[in-house]
Amino acid sequence: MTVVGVRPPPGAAQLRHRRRARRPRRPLGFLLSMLVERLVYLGVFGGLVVEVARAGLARVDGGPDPVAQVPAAVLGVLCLVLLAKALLGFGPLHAGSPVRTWLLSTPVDRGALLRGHLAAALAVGAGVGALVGFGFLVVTRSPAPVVAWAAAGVLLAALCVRVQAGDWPVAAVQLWLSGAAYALVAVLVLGPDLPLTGLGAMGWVPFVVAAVAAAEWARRGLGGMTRGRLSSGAELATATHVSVLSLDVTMFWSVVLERRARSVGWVRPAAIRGSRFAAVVRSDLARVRRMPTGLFIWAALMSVPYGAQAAGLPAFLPALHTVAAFAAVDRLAAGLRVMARSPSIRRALGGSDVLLTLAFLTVPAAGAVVWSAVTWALVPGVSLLTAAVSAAGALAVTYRVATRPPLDHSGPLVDVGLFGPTPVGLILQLLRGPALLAGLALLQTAIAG
Amino acid sequence: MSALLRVSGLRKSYSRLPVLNGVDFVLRAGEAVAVVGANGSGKTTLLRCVAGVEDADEGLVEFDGAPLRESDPAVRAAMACLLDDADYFPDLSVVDHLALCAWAHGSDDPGGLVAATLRDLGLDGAADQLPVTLSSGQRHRLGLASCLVRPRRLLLLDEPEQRLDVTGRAWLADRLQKEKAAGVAVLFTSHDHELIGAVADRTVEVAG
Repeated sequence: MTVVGVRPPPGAAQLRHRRRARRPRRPLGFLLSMLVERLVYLGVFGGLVVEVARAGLARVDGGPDPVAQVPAAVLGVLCLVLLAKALLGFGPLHAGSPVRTWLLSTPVDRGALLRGHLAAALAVGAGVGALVGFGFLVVTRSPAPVVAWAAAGVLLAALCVRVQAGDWPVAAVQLWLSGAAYALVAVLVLGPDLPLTGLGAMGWVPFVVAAVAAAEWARRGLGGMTRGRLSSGAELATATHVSVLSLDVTMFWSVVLERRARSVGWVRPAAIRGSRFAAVVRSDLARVRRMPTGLFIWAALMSVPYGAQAAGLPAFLPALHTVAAFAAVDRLAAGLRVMARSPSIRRALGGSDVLLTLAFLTVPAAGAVVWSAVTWALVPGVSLLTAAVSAAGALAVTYRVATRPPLDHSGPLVDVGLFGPTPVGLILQLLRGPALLAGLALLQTAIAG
Repeated sequence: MSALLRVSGLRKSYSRLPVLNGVDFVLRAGEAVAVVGANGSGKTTLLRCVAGVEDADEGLVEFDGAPLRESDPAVRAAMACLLDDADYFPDLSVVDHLALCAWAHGSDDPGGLVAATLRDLGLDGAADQLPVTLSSGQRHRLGLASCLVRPRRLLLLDEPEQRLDVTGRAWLADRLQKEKAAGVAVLFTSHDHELIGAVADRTVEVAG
């Protein structure tokens, strides 16, 4: 029998050092070329960010815009709520299975091992918060402290880490956040005349103090993080990673749908009956009812043409109307997407592919017609022709996107800069849908002009 | 009796690795043929080629005397499959899936049929659950149930005994015998000698 001797486990820093030391060394030439490439990208994107920031800050010189302050503040808070939801979706701390199996199963101080993960989560919070703050500054043209928004982002990220550590049930917190998001959207749409007072010169200080305290509190909670809790977001993180690398969001949305279904668990039976066509349409309606987020987004997107009209952008209104109509209708096409990518479901349902496609297009088609009709009736700048083109176009683009065959990454390559050598066929496949949408947006602009 | 399904000279290879080397067999109504062979010998590939899910390199699959086309509504109406590509709508419950299947195929008394099938397969307790919350065994039973709530002339089943307990396997053998007695042709792959012995009239051996 092999006898294993026991000695004190190594520290987290030692372990990290050991992992790095075991990585294969790369040639200096390779490292230098990689560094140059990254510097070029940093220069290009950094330049873009600086330009946008300059343009935004130039607007601030025009003086504060009190009308925009309340909606901008509500929108900013909504962005932070959505950030918290996203962070909880991904963990916010997550460890892939190699780390879970080989590192977290050891008696090494888990808190010390996870400090880097925590720093990354807090940095994401700070970054998104600062971005929201900058947006608020640009829209309202008021000297609002970006630091306060960034600190709020850090505070939220730290609280999410404590939620993940088990201080509160994740599902309940997600539910509260969804409620808060719906309430904020209602405030945005109804636009009540709320008083908004400025923070004052030192108003950002309490935010920063609270953020620092929350970060320290989150750090203390790291030791109690279980492997199960660290794996909760790993599946979504992996799906996101793969989706970004393969330029295909199918896997990401599949995981999101599965997680949503898992959280729902069970449902009351739907009233499915009638012919094949009627049964499919009834099942599609049941799905829309069960996952109301899609319906909510469909309705919320009606505010886009209204916002464009209110913001004084009549030239862009028809094109925006079409794009928003597609985004809205696409939220109702989950059934079509599942049917289109699954031969086993088509076999199980029987009938021809054409009939099944038409049946699964019925709910999105009704959604397109109602969406366009409502925006035509309520938004002054939307003409009947614009609404009709948007309804038909949104449905056509939804069909093209939903029925796109699985992406094929083989074939001749062409260098497209940022993404490097990319298969020509892949580019054409990715353009299936977006190209039509762009064409329709141009057509709408031409008709209106 | 004429052949319901005729497979002749079926060949299939992945890259240069041959999987099927000229498979021939005939299946008549009320008969059962078991496809046997070791793991990786091509049993599932044979079923996928027969179902039209995968294209064979050579050979012919005929259904009712005509080349089988998977997208043909008449073939879909007659052929119930449980293959390794089973998929589900994430937001429809177990009973919703079966009701949709039964109504879509114009089954007689869909409600009663669905309830009876749920009971037979021990899924009545999970009827309102969404598929992601089912165990792999329950999902397999749901796949089987979807084949049984609709009219069929040909059953294609890829290792139907998988993830079934002893009682479940006995029920499956009994059910497949009843299918044969009702005139349904059954083509299935299996590693279970008891099931093959109880159900199959002939076996087709694939060796990869």
